[in-house]
Amino acid sequence: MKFVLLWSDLLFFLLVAICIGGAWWAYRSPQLAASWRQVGASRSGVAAATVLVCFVLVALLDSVHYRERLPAQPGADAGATVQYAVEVKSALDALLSKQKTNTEKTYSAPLATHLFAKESRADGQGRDYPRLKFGGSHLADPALSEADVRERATFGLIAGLSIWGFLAFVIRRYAQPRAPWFAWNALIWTLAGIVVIVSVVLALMPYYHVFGTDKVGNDVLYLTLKSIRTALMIGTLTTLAMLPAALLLGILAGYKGGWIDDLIQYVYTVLNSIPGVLLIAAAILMMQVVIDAHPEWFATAAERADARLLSLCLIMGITSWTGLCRLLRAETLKLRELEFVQAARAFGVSGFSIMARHILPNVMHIVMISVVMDFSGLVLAEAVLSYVGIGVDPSTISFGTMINAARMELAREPMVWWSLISAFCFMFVLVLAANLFADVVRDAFDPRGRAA
Amino acid sequence: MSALNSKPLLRVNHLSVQIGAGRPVDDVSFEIKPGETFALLGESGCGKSMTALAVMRLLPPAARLTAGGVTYGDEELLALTEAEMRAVRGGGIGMIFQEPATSLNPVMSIGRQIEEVLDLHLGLRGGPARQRARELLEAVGLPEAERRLDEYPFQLSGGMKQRAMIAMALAGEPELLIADEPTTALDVTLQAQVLDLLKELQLERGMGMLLITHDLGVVERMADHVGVMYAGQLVEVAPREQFFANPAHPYSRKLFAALPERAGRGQRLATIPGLVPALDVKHTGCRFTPRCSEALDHCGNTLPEWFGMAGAQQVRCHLFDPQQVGLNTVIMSAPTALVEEPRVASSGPLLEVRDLQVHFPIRKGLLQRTVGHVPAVDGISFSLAAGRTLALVGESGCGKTTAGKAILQLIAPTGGSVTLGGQEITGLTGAALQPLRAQAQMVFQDPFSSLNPRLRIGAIIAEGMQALGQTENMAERIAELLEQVGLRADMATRYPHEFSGGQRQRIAIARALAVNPKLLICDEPTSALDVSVQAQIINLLHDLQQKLGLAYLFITHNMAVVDYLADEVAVMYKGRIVEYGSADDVLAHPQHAYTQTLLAAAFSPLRGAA
Repeated sequence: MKFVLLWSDLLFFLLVAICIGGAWWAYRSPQLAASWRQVGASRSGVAAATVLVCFVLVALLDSVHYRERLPAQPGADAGATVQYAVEVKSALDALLSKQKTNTEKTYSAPLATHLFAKESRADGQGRDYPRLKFGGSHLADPALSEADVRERATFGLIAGLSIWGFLAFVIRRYAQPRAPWFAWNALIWTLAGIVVIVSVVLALMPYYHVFGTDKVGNDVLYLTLKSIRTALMIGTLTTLAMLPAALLLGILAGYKGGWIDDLIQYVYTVLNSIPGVLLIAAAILMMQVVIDAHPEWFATAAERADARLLSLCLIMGITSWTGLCRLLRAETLKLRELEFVQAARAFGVSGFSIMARHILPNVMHIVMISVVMDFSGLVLAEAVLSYVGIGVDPSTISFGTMINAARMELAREPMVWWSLISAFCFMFVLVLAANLFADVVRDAFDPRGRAA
Repeated sequence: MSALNSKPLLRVNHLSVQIGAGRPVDDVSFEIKPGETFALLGESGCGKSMTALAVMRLLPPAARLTAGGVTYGDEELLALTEAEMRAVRGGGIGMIFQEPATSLNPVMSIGRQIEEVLDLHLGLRGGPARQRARELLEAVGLPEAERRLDEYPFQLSGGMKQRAMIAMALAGEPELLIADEPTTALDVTLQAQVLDLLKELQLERGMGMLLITHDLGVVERMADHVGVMYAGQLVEVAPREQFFANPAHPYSRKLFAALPERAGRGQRLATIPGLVPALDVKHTGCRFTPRCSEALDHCGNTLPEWFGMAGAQQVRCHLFDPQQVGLNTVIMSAPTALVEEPRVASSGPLLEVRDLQVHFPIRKGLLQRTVGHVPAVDGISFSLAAGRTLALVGESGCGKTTAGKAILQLIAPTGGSVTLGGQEITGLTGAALQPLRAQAQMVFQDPFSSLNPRLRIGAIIAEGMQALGQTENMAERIAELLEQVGLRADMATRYPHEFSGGQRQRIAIARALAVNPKLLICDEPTSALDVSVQAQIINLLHDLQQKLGLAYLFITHNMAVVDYLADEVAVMYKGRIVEYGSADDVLAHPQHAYTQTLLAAAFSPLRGAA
């Protein structure tokens, strides 16, 4: 086995590390800690954060990539170089290997035992719905599947409830007394939902396609879980790409004023006036040409897809820094006239240190709020772009590609709804959690909100 | 007043307001007769505004009325429905707020806003309403009333806005006017005009008035009766003459003693140690006990009764308990004299300003061409010797702050010269300016915006030393500075939000002193502070001058502070210095008309009462 570190993995791990580092720093600084405490004390904040953490965990699992070692060729001597598989897998793929490998021929409904379309029977006796290769194949009589599903789901439910009961007990007993201000109840109840759903799905997963299969027979549950990483990547890496530009230019424009301000304002006004989708489409296509012209840059298809994902993040970052930049410029204009900045100038402190020491920390609440708010917008933007066909690489699984593939089947009778609905549900929960969390963060960090 | 015997217009009975565990208004009772002014006096955070809001039933959502009653005429206001209450607000009781700039709707013309009130309370619309609005604007002395009706708030100056606000409050023909710090946001000269106007209107209409203020001068000028509030309770109620002749409660007496004035020069101002308690504190005894120099043993746990004195004066203090005979003659400890050391004889002026000009360009058009200039500072000259204090006096907008910043090269002067310690500093930039930065520093007006909320106190004070490369023994130096301004050395690790306004101003002074300056430019350092805290800061500045031989350029509009502190005075008007000379000359024999207006407008209560 050989670990593969894709660029996006590296950046994602870096981001998570920064978040953990930031949390530690916030813990040390009493002011930030007080604001985060307010987030921790809010029920909706804690519930949203719990859901988000689950999504991040799935994405982290999906970011540990490796190439499998191929079995030694019979006859080759022991000293021969080890061969690795071309396909790059992730830890999530390994966990879901049954779902990944057991594909069906085409569509099948959630928990079905038969394909969704009729086919000619092997014995030539008319047409029928053939049995699935994987779903419900352990049953001798497919008619029993309903009872089987019920039995397994009940088992999953009971197991989930008992695991949850144990977790709830541990939290109440050990964690709650240490931090009574924290909204533990919200955590416990959110966990109840998550643990029960996960264990029911886990109980059914080894025997059925819980969310059905798509056109080429891939397990929809697997696709949905894989999409989470793409969505989070787009949401976070785009922010990472735009943040330096927005911070630097926004603060510079506000603090320096004069022609620097004019120049920066002209740049973002012009950029804002170009239709976003067109700009992104043009940039993506150019990127595509570059990537296709240099196949030697990429050892595997995964690396190529990863490059395209990163370039999408970069391009979306370039087109989306203007909003934050504008906000930061306005806030800096206000801060620059405040007396503590004047006092620093009276000491002859250099412009750069004033921006770094006095202005940057005082605009961080705006950055924090807009980053969390933008996240949900970016996840949705990816879906739209992939739907238009200028999003991620077709081989990358994302909510956008799932929706794009499923849209034609909505017209079919009877309707194939499960791909769309599962993508929709996961995206909805992710974006809702991000939005709720953003609201709570804004309330906690916005000094204007605190006065009210 | 003639109406002394008529029945009260407003009677507040044992009114209490609760927020959480605290009581910002606790057992407050008073009454106002028609044509009479009752002044609620006290520092910020004492519950004065909360009392007014409770009377109007406009309390914030977190506050609850827990006890007492408010009778207006024959009506019990607390029993009215919200709809009936709306008819009382504006109709029966009008209200004027502190900040004229924010109490008018910026997108409605003045006329529309007044007509709205007329429509609501008198049913006047169209032509008659406009006619009435014009009369009201004329009544409040707004020139060119007809034209003003169609103007928007941004087109009016601060004083005009406050007049428009008063016209609005009068539109409903109220019998009672609640004025919440009506002049605090205005310049001295305007203050006098607005107060005279209120008094005139009151005489004309026989209105009752509830005046809320922290300013003894305003009380002296306006009130018939005075109620002193402290931490939510009335502690003394008296007719004005008696109150000014013989303030009884220790808090009232301290308020008088804390006022700076000429007679007290060279003496330490009396200060009240500590702070007004926070709103959410629960009290058992007299609330002033922790800050009272005369506190008795049982003051802390027994709430004093009201004790009557001569006339209608009443006081809530154990010192006046008739059963403790002999105590009510306690005299406040005499003010301690400041140690007046011989002033450092200086060889020449430390700061010399010649024809200093600051013009702000007016830019227009696509290419932002400069089409004209606003002369903010228009050729001012003065000099200041080491260890002396020069007061730069003038109303807001006259360019005094701009002048201060231009001297420090925070704003590039357009012309003229500034010499500091014999060296020309205009035109210097960057590194060449650094050594001079150490010689002159600034203390700003607003202690809440002058400290970076994200830095610790230690880092704030260290900033100047780091920037100017004076980094030896920095930790010890910070500790020393904190102690020098009356704070504790261990406060260096805290953040600004943990400190009160007065403490923050001390930190700002420590920051300025960190680089051992010879000149301190103080831009209204006390105007955002309460009277008792102002006295502490003035004492501190005075001590520091004695000890370190600092020169102060004191930018202010407060004539009492000038009277108390300044050696020389420069009066600034519209960007120019119109009068300049020693404090004794200028204040005793003002030559210029503007100086005379300024001095006439600034009223010292003690001077008036004596």
